Amino acid sequence: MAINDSFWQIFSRRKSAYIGLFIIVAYVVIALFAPWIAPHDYRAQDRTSIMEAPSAEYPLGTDRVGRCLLSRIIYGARISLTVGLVAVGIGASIGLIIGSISGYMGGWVDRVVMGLVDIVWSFPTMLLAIALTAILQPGLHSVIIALGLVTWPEYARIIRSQFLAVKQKEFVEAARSVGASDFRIIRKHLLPNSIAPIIVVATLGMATAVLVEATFSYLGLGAQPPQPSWGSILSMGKDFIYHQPLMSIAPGVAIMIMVLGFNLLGDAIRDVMDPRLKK
Amino acid sequence: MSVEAETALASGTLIRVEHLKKWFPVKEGFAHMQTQFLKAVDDVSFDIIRGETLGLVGESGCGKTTLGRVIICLEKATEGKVVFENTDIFNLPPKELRSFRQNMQIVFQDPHDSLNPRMKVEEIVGEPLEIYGKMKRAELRKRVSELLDVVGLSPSHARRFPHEFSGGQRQRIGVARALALNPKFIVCDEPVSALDVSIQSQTINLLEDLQEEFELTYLFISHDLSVVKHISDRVAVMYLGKVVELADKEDLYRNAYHPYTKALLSAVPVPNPRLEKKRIILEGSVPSPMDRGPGCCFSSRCWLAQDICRQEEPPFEDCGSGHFAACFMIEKEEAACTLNPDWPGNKE
Repeated sequence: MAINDSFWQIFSRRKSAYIGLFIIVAYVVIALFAPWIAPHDYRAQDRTSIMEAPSAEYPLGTDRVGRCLLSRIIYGARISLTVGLVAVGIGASIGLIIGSISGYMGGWVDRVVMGLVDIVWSFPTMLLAIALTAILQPGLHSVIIALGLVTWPEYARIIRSQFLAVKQKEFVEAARSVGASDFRIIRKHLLPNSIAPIIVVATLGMATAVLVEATFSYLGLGAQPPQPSWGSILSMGKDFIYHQPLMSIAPGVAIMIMVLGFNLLGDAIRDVMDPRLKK
Repeated sequence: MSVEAETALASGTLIRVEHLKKWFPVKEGFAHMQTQFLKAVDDVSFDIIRGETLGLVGESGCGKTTLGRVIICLEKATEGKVVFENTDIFNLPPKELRSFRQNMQIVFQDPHDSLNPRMKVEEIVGEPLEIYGKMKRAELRKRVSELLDVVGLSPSHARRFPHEFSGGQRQRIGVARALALNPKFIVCDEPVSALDVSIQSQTINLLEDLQEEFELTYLFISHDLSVVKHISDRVAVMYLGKVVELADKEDLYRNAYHPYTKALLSAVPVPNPRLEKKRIILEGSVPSPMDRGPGCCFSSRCWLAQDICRQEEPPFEDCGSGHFAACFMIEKEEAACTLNPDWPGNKE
């Protein structure tokens, strides 16, 4: 990858890159220092103030068992970030390896792998993930693993199609004619020229992962109480949306901003990696 | 044939190509049941002499690029063999082949496609060195600067990316990469056809200078007859996967034997408006390389074709003083006249 001394020069020419970076760094900081930032313990129930409107004590109000909503959202950043990064990490890594092999080798290997991809894809993603989660015991780690195992075909497909196109280029022939090994050709020539769409899809995938985790938590398969996942807060809030709309809006906004941050950052990274966009 | 392969090549010969075939399978019919073959290179034999430039001409799709790529093992041959300095390179185990590759390199046609856009010039030119020589970083840098200097670029260009260069400069980078391992043989696959005319001559001159300096042997593939005439010592003419004629440059351009060569040469524009030329216009179009029927590959379009031409394949033979041609109808006198502009018949 062409990350070199001028990385920051290009990066810094884009305002949106700063915004994306700022958002993600902010989330990471919040997640890491949650115990110091949050005004209350996310588990602490205040029986005297249930379903309260925002106040000085509880800036975003409280939920139906009297827990500080702001604190729960702050702790929730830990869960969402973990799910987004790890699930996409698993899915993209599996997809990258399998897709690379498939696209590079071609022939029967390619046909077998693509058949496998089609099989995985023929299941409704949600159903497959739910089944996997049920097998693996409900909980966050199951959601993460299930998401990884369900999303890899998308990455495999993309990297394969990129490989098929890039493989035809003469610079790959040139590398072969100077005796480059298969591994070297993949690492030095094919991957750097194929990775850009993966980065875009991965950033979108992190956003999706955060949302899927929310759904799973709602179904009781994801974060287990009292773990403060944004999804579970949001789905709990929907029952009280007329009395306490903040309970749904606040985690929704937190998800939205995180998704936006991932997308902006993803775009910026993609551009930085393309040397042709340098002046 | 096997006996021939074991005999050492004559001292002047660098590469011997023997009955080389490259057939691409093409699936056709219901559920891809029938397999036909596209005969890109079909039973070709010739020698390449050390230090020469062998021009290879032919129209688009005649298999010249495939032939060049098969000779340096970028594609697997269907049949036949290539002997490079007494080594049968198709029978080398993969590991040895990889190390043997340093003897033979290629310069590609499209300078925009042949350089990895994500690598700096330094990495592109240094890649072969990195693979073969266990060089230290400083040493590698030094060698890359030398190479850039040799092809007429500045060492300061090393830190740039390919898109920052013009087409001619990019082609020089490609040449530098090909030279990095001190090869003996370079396939130049239409190295100038993607370039402007003014840049073409610079690049040709560079290739000629390098040949002299490093004692290189070239297989120069092109469809441009005037470029080939300028750079080559000998010229081979290809039609539909066959080499139909091979001769010394002067001999071929003055005294072509094969009717296809005559037709091809008659199409070369002459920079003299007063000189009227008799242009041979061929009837019909090139038959499909998948199914061209028996006989001579050119018989369907040849104005001299007889029954024998449509039934038997003419042998590729030495017709005297190293002038090879594959044609039953060689009439040397007539051949001599047709292309001689001073011959009265050509002036009409």
